[in-house]
Amino acid sequence: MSRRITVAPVTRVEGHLSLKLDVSESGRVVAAFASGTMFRGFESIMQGRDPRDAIHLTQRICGVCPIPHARAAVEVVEQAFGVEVSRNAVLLRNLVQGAGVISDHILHFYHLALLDYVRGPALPPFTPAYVTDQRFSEADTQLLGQHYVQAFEARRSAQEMGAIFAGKLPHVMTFAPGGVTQAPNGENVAAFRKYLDGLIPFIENVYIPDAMRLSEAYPEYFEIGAGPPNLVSFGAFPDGAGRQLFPAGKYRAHGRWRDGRRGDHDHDGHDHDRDGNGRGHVTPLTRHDLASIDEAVKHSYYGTGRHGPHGHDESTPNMDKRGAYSWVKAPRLDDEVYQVGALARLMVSGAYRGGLSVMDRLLANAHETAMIASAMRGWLDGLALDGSGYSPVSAVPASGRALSVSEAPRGALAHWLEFVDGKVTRYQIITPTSWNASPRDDQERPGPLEQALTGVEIADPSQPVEVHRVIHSFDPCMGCAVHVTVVD
Amino acid sequence: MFTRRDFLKWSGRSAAVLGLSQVGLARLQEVLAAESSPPVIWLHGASCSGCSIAALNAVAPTTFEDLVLSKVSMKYDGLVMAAGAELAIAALDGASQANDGRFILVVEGGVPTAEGGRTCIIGERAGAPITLLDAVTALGRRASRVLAVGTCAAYKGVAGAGANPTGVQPLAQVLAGKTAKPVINVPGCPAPPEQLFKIVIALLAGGEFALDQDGRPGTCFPHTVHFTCPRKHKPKAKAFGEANCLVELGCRGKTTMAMCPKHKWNNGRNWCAEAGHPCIGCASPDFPASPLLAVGTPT
Repeated sequence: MSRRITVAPVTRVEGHLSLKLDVSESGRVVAAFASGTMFRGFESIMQGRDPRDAIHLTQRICGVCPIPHARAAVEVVEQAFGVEVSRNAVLLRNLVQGAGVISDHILHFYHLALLDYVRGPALPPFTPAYVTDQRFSEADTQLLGQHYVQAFEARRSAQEMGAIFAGKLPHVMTFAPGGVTQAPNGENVAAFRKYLDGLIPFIENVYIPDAMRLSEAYPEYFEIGAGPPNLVSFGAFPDGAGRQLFPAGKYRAHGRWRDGRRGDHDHDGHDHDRDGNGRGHVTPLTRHDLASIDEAVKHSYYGTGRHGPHGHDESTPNMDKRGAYSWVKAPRLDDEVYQVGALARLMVSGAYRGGLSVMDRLLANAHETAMIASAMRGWLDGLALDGSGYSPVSAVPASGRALSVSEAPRGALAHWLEFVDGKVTRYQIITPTSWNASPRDDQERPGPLEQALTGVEIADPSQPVEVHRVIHSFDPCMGCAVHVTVVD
Repeated sequence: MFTRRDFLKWSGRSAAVLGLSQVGLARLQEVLAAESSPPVIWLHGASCSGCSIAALNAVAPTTFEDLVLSKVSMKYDGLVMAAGAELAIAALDGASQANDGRFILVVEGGVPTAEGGRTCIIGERAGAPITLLDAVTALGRRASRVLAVGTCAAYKGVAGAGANPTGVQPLAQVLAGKTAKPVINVPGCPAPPEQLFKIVIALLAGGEFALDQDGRPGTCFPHTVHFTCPRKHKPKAKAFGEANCLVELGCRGKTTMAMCPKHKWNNGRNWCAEAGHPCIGCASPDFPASPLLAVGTPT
């Protein structure tokens, strides 16, 4: 016999998420159902507009991660217009996007995730709180508390840094077809560098050690919250010379991955240990892969769930649809469930060798933050102060279509654009959290978060902190996840 | 981990920013020092959380962390609060009941009204979903003041753009006749955090604002962007990125009431026109107008 626990709302995430969990008598999660509980209908916002409006409007899907949307949107427009931008424009976009990742990962670790492990200040909004399984000494709790406050300053300065070339954050103003309208000059490059020089010691001496400290205090979370064995990165941060900091690719973990836990041995009989011996298999991301992406809606609030005279209706909102429990759709690549995020990027690139778990996600975020900050120094050095960051687009085609991909802090992002007579006829976006927080698909396979939660042991059902730790390791962004942008 | 810090130094520095007299300053310190100070309840609706992120970015008149650790009792804020699930909803219910008629309600994001508001569920109470519409209606009646933060809450904004399938309405319309005092609009995409904090702190100190025809505190949104724009007397720019007046490229600064040229964004670091891009009118009641820029196809 199992009973049902509801976690509604899940706080410390962007947007509106709730979970329903079937829990056995011993406290083990036997099934999880993730619901996105807010719908805005972004498709009708884009319909009939100038394609360039997407640069500003799609950012408004998410104020936490607007920059990758701005970038994917401006680049999809540029592709459709046949516009190529200068290396300076590429580097400026990298610098803004990098500032966003730094800000976002710091926010996630300290302000969204850490309170699942550490007692906060003794006042609202840090009280009330779960008070179970808090393992840090009083001294370490004090230290992490100080870092929690310092992290506000760090993420704020990362946003200020990004605004130097973004115009403002959140919501980038400077990404326009043809480049970046804010030109670099000696003064703003020096100001940017000063911020970066201040942030790198925080990342290296505070953030990464704190993530390590957390993983040492909660080592069993290297075995909890695996999710599906397939990971995908769409690739991000081009260097303007044909390479990317994070290449596109697919990673498939070896070993038995069942019920959210890793088996003791992989199928070759080798230990799936943490120093790379059990490393999975990386394959390139092909055009076929991107073309194979499909979104299942059997358990989403769209359509009737039945075939009608015009085939399957997959986009009309329908809150009363039988069997539906989420506004999120279920994207699948080549008919497989994929998880996305910094862990996927770093596993594909080979920069991180570990497993799939709650702690691996937190550590991958931290290591990636340092990697990006370091790369930003190079991009900053590579800027030419010659006004080549933006050149106006003179000829605009009446019609076109294109696909642009990038990586948001939480994972793979794709924008598809079609326009006719200068008006958008179709704009589709698949965001990271659409993958990670997807509901069951047409074959009843749970989404990554649902898989990661299955098998989790809850010690005290009145304080299901274990569940929050798994959820927060994905850093869900529900505003992004629910967007429904198919326009026909 | 922390106690409420002494904020005498801060409020002395802030008195001028807030336009407070010595009497007002003394009252502000008294109010904010008390453990029983009126709490703030911050609800997210059909939003992108960008206004929250902007609030986290502020340093003037104070920082977000200083605000919540030392000055304002933030009883509910889904983005930063420790509690989740029933514990969070219990905190919400407890705070509103214990402070009936005293708390400040902040609403970020649009309020969907179609389908009984069921397209925005903010949590559950005893197994029953709580719509944002239900929450703002119940809490709006009991709050001392209600703030519509950001263009979505104030005027529908992006959340209610296009065909508006979820029936987003401006918060003041949803709550018409149901609040003790008129809803205060703090528009912008995101809402400018300087103005937001200034309004919250002044309200806690017993201050009042005269609202203009669009529900904004007139003293916080006194001019159009163009009025104080340092580029308005410059030659007309022919392309984005030029350090000239962007009006012929579709700039909406002449019709947008906002303090961007003065406060800029990210603590004075930059702002739209300074970064070479025309104003898209993000604080205007008609945002996001189509096309976003006032002329058809600028480059």
